[in-house]
Amino acid sequence: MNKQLHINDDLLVKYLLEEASQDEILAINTWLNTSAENQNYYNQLKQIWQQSLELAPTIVIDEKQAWHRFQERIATLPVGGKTKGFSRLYISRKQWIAAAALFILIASGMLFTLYNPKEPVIAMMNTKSDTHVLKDTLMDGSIVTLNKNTTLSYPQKFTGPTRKISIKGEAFFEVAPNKEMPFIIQANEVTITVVGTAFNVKNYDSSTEVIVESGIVKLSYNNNTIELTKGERILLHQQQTEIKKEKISNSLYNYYRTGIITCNATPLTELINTLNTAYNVDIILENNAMNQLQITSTFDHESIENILNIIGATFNITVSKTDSTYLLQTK
Amino acid sequence: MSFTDYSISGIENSFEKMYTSHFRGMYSYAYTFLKDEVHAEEIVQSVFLKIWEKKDSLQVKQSIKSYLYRMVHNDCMNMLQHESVKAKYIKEKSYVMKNENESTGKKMQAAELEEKFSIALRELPEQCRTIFQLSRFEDMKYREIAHHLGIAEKTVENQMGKALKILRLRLADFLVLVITIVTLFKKI
Repeated sequence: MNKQLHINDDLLVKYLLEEASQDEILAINTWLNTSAENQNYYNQLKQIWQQSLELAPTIVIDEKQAWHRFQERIATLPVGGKTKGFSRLYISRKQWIAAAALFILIASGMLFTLYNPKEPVIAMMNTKSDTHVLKDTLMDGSIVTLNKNTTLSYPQKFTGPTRKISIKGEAFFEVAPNKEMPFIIQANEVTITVVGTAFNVKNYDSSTEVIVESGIVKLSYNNNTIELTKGERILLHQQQTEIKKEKISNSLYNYYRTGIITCNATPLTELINTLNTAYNVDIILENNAMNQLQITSTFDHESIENILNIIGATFNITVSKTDSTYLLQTK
Repeated sequence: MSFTDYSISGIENSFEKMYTSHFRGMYSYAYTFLKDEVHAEEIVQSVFLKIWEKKDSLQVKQSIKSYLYRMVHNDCMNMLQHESVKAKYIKEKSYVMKNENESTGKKMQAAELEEKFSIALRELPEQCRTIFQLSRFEDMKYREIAHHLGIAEKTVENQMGKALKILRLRLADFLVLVITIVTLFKKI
């Protein structure tokens, strides 16, 4: 039997998926060779078929664990199938009406997005930097640069509805945008919420500082909420009740990421604090009058001795060293 | 009409079997719609919850697979409808938050294509979409799909042709671009 086959999409797809019979393969091969146009048409279908694989999920999910989660959920259902509370929203009635079902589905969808009742127990992980600055990429693609002596705690996997982490020390965050899953950092009493942005967090026992480099960062503290945008900072001390933001005048906070110390009318005390952390030294200012000094300069990968010499020359100060302690005195 | 898998009885054992044998496929189905692991699992869990609730009275007059996949399809479409309303709101709010270094042109093009693809897939009718899913993402042959869904092999053939035809029409603009690049490479 060699009847003329009409070449259509059904047949081409069958051919593409290697489902076609010998007769069909022959007919299609002939058809493909008759014109470049035919070939092109087939290539487009093929292209679509290949491209569509990109949409497949990349994460393999374990159905045994999912079944376990499911069992936990049905265990909380009251006997007899009657449910109470919000769970009623996603459970059917005896009389299954299409309209009601639709409503229920939408409502439950909303509920899950808003509250997400299940919070599975996930192993927490720590990343610690000791004597070196450390750069780390989290599961969601966010990049974190940890200053020395900083600890970051985060779940092994972000399962939503939020990406929650906590920090002790100082780190710079470049958060991968995901508006469906806000990124939340707990720093002492301050809660920092973002969806995708870059900012610096300094969190020690007595104080918390946040500086925003790009985007918007939302802070909650003591029932107060405040939004910071590019170039703004807040500094909170323990027991402080109100929060107030201010414009930053320099990018000194960036030093551990860039290796460059930038001062722009920066108080000398602030620079000294930074140097103490950056070079793991102990610099002491002899008298309080020095606290008033301001410095404008850039130190690009300089040694601590060089920097102190420059400071000394600028302000007419003597620098003396004993062990790892530097004493700055007015001449 | 045939029960190609097994019918839902009140026996928990068979429920578990049904759950574990269909979960992965349903999850992957939901994921291709929602692109979100948490939501995808939630959709599948709630589908099984609904069945669990009426497991004593439920009568499925068709294959279990087609029943389950239809529920996933419907629930996903509903969620997307809801999400699109919400997304519109968020989009307006987060406009200012965009980073300049968010993505290069190439990345954006790939993301755009994927987005277009997702939308085009959503436009496929339910049965057509489910068949496409089984063929593409669960690597089933036409014969297997027909068996699992309790339909004729000829129907699978028609629906697959239809799926690719619709996708080709929706993505025509992008394909021109992709194919030009491909031919360019061939010439070199």
